[in-house]
Amino acid sequence: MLARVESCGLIGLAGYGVTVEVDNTPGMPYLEIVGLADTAIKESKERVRAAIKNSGFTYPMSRIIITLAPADTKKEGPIYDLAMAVGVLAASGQLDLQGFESTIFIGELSLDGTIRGVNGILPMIIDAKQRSVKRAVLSETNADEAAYVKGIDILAVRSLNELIACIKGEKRINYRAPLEFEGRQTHEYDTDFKYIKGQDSAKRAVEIAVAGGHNIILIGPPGSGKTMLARAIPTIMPALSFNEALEVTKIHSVSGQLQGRSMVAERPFRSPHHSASTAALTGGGIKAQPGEVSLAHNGVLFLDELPEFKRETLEALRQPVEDGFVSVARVNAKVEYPARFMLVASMNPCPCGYYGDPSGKCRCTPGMIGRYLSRISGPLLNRIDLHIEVARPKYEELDDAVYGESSEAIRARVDQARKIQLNRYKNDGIYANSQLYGDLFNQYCKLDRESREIMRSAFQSMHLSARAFRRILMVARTIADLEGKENITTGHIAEAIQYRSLDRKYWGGK
Amino acid sequence: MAMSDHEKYWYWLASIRNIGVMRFFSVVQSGVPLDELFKHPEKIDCEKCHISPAIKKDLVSKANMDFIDSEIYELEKKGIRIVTMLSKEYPPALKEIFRPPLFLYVKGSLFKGMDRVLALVGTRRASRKGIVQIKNRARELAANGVVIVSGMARGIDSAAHRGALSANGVTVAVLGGGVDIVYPPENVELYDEIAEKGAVVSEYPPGSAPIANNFPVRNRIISGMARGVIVGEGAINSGAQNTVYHAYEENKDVFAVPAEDESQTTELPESLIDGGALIGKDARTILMHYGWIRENQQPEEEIPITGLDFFEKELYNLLLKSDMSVQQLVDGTNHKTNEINMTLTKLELKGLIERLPGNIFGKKTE
Repeated sequence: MLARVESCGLIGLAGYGVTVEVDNTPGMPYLEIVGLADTAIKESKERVRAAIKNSGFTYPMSRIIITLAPADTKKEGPIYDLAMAVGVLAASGQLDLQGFESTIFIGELSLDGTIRGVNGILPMIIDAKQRSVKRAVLSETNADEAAYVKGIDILAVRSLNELIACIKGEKRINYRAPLEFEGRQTHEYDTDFKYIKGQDSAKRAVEIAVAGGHNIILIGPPGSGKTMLARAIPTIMPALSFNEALEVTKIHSVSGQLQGRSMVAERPFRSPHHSASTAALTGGGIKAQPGEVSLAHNGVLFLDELPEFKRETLEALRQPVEDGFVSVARVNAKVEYPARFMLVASMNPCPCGYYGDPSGKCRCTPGMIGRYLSRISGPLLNRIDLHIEVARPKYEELDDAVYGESSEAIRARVDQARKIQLNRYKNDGIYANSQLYGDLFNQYCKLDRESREIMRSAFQSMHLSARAFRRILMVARTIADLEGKENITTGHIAEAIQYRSLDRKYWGGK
Repeated sequence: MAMSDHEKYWYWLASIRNIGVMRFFSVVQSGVPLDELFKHPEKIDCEKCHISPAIKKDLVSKANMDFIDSEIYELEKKGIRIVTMLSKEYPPALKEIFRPPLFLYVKGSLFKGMDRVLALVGTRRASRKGIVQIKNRARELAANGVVIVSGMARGIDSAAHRGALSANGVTVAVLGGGVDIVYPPENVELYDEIAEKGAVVSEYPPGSAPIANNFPVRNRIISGMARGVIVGEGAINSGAQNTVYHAYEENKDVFAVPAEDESQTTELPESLIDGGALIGKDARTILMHYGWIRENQQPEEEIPITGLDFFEKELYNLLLKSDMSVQQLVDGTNHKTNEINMTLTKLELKGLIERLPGNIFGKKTE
């Protein structure tokens, strides 16, 4: 007998339909799975056999061929166990699937028939719904994640037995109630800007960076609070919209990073160690998994100790930073994962770490400092708009019992500035000042005569490059937006100029 | 300024490795005139002159005028001249020290007025204030015809050279490596200027690396050339102290420059003053000590700063007193960071202040 059961596969972040066909004919006992199945799937036959037997059913002693269609895509992971088991039961006459059409079955089977959860449920369910599938059967563990998708019935079952009982009508079917996404972040971050003492200049710079979507680099000696500042950044980023949360959840789901959550409601903060491989960072590897840059999508990618990263790894970051996505090659397809994040880098000012520190501990020669800085690839530095110098706080600053401004207050200003940008650029296809290019500069960053004078003066006396010029303009635009001002004035430009430390003479700039 | 034959013989003998001052003079004073020995080097009595057979072998092989001439020619191609003790260019004060260099490799010229010579040395890790102080001192001294000698190291030495050059004066740099090796590398422009307007000298053959052992030996030349040694910022057990040691050995004057600020490294000057060194309070004091000062000296005028708004004046005055970080300015003025950053830029663009690593600002120094 032939049975047909529907399931789902994944290519990148998109689900697609996979049909599990089971053909059962008399003959020597033999089970073969075809359809470009990977090793986990080839092992399925043992799990399926044990699960069927241990659920009290008969495993057919005949010739069984299972094919996973379409036959030209690589199938990965144990997600088809459930569908295969159902198919084998149906093909051997032990189960009648009438009345259970337009249903997908997704789940891994334990040897005792328990159904286990799998990665990537969210994109699979989203795709199924788009294909007008009526119902999805999956593990209890995956149910909440799937419940965010409206318009498809979610049946969560614990075991093969329970499922069969539902199909036969012996057990009442209770579909999972749909979940609403909470628009505002309810996640409590464990840090807040108010806990950071002093560092007013750095906090101001970070506020500007988040408001305009600018990438930043924090430069300072060990113990100056660079990591603390970086970790606090997500607390002032605007709340995730539903679509943004969906994107983030899909990526985390596919990577198995949901960690029990059904939906990711806060902005990701990823900080890979500098020894991470290029594949770990940008994605790839055997299963073409999303990398850190994608896991940081819609959040922050923190590269601590930037000069310690391998040059080739930094080179690989160019595409995501520039384009907002990464292309990962697979055997027979090329997959694109989104990777639009705020880049926050940190570094010591010199090899010993204490250049510019009032303690005078630094013993590095100008040559050593220049060489250290040149390890950061030029193109990456080109995409960093603000250079923020962070100094070690003095004891008096730490002792102060007064808290600084809270993240909530800062976020309110950031939200305002973001709204202004969204409105301004609604017809231009960008959403933040950091994305300005070409002609849009002329349109939105007009300078009055005084401002142009300051720029010209700075350009000459500080020997700024054209690249620095544009970045100062972008940052000035954000500073003006934070004040709710339409026009950029000298004050905005003057402040923006201070955020280009690395272009300065004392660091080997001319 | 071609070398005389006699100078060439001198060079022939002195340029042998490991010959040393003692043995050199043994040979010179052995009774046989140098030109004779050059023509008949086999006549050198090893016993009497205390030289080894190996050295004699070297001497014999190099006792060839063509050979010597070609060596000198190669050096001249690189702009390097040989100044032996016989030359009028050789600093007179240097001849008097215990173990004078038998000859010097020179880029530039030592001729110009070598009577008013003062050495100026100090630490490589000088504070900003210290650098400004020494530069000014060197400038004023040079403006009164003093030749400034130093080692072209980072910090005080370079400040001294620059100060002298800014007054269109003469300065001499004595290097610890070959005269063609620019160390530290970032001083390449300073090196060129000194070679052009003064002299860069070294005892070591061109191409020699500036290894640590050379420096104490080189320091005797710095103090040796001068009438007195001025010490700027410095630490105990430093190169500067070593130069002072040589100065005391050779009976030179030692002036210590007192610090004006707590940011300066004053251990060495302080201990020197305790030990009886002269106080180099300002250039005038030092010049008066030697009677070198010109009668009509006009004090430098302070250029008044105009055109600053209220907030700019406030920040500028704070920075005049000492360098401050942006955080300190925020805490000290009750203004917000963005206003402060903005005003700092304006002051910077007006050339009044400069930005330093660590988010620190200070009054602009040249």
